[in-house]
Amino acid sequence: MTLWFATRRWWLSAVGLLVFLFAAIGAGEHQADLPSFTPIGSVTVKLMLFSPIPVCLAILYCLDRRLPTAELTGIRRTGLADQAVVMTVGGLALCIAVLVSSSGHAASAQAAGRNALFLMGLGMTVRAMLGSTAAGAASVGWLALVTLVGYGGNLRPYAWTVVLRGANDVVSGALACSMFAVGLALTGLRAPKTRGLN
Amino acid sequence: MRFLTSFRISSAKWAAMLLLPAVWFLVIEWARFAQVGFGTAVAEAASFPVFAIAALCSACATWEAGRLRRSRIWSLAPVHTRLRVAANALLPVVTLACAAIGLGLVAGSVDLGVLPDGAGASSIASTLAVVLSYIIIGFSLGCVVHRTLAAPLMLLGVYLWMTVPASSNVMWIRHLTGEQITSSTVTDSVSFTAFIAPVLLSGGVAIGLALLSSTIRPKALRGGVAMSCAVVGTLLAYLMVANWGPDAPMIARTGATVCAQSKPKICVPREFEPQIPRFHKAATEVMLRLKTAGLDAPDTLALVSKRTEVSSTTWRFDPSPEESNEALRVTVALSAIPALPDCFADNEGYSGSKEGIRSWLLLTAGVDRDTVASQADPKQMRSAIAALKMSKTSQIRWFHSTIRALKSCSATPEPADAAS
Repeated sequence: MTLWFATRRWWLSAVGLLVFLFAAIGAGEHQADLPSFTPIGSVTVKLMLFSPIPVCLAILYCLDRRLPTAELTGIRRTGLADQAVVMTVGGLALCIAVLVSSSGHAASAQAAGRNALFLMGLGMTVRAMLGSTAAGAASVGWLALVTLVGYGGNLRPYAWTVVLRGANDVVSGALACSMFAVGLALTGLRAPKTRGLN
Repeated sequence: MRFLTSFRISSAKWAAMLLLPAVWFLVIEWARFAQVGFGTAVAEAASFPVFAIAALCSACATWEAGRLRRSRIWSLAPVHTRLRVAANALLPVVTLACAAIGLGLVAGSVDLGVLPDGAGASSIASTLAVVLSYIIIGFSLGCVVHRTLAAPLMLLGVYLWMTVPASSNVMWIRHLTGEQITSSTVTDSVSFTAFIAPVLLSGGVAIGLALLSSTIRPKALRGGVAMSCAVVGTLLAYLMVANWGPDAPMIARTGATVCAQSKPKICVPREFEPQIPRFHKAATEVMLRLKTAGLDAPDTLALVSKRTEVSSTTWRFDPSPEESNEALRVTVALSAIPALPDCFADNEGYSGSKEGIRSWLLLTAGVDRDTVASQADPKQMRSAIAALKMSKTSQIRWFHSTIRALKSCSATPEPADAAS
């Protein structure tokens, strides 16, 4: 498994988690007005929304580092090992979010933990269907998309956006966990598609 | 490679499906707040989605660079020059950027009912230059960073860079992103420098990165020239905007004023020309009443920039074609109050107010008393009613002494005090 670990460069996911930690602390409760299809033409968004991206991209990058021939013919179950690492990283991302939130740096950090799970799940799902580059673009694109069309006329975020909802929103939490589970399952079941969006 | 083949295998094909509808709706969204029939606004509306165009196109360029990198194109025996290989990969992306801007112009023209005018050319040129710069920056990033990371990072980085600073407290950074945060009006145009600054920044960095891949020898010279371009562009851009406030500087719009009618003559921007008869009718009615009350009626009512000097016989007014006739009478009546300094800026405890003469002007102009009362402070309304009970000479004396007080930021008089 040493070869598997070295090939995947899993230590980069630790770097991603560290960047997530510092991004969450740095973002704090800072807000910015972004363009949006709302009655006033813009919406105020917490910068914390974008903090899970480093950990999400790090996971996708590591999963993309493969030795296809060796993995197909080897007896080691690298898919299961990948799932175990991704679950660990997801759990650590949640711990970091709780830590930042409880340390008083930003109350909204808890939502960032849930969002990290959702974006990682979305990225892994798209990766299984369209490839790694599209997966990263989909995770980032989701954030841009929901800031544009994710708010109703009363400036309340829709439930389907998941990442814009409050930290205590049960439906968003369930959706994020489901998306993470689907992504995790697809990561273990199938190799990413390499034709089409390459 | 033929263009259609390049486009078929390019990521631009997928990006187009998302970008082009987004551009259409973003332009329509921006145009909600723009003046109908104003050609410059069409170009500015088409420039508004620059954050989406630059982010998606630069991510596509990164993607294409990643594909060339993965195919190890740069290490193969050369058949074409590097520039041609890069241009071939980027042509679909550049075409998508141009198509998005062109579609924005069409959407703006349809929504505002007018074709873009020449004054908007600098806005479009700036947007195009900024987008091309970010395409080059994205391609350069994709040449050195794994595309799984590079493309999403470019997408997110450019999106945040172009949207977040607009609400930042650091004023200079707002003007360097390429997102045009200040819009032209029918009386004032955004200064040309506002379009140059973001191009200097992104263009300097893009040229620097492009030079890094050139064949200039020795390598140290290449690196030095590239670094110089990026630093000089950034510094020039910063120095240009360092002292700017939240909005970019504006200049008075010239050559667009149309004058017609007489007693009073009405001067408005050419976009408002069809409204002149309606403006004149409202002005005639109101001026007659103000003249009866003892005010000297002006020769001209002009909707011009505050930066333009006007004669003493000209009153500035600020009508809008969408205003009802009642609102238009209010606008004309209030034009009797000249431009005043912002006394509260220097003295937060300033006790003077123009609300008294404002209510008096509206009541004198024949505006419904209930309408005036609904907009006025009760105390100031009482002052206005008290003034109306005085003689004409006393009313005019109170009006002029209030204007003098407001101009010198001193306390405004009560009607009874001014009359005595």
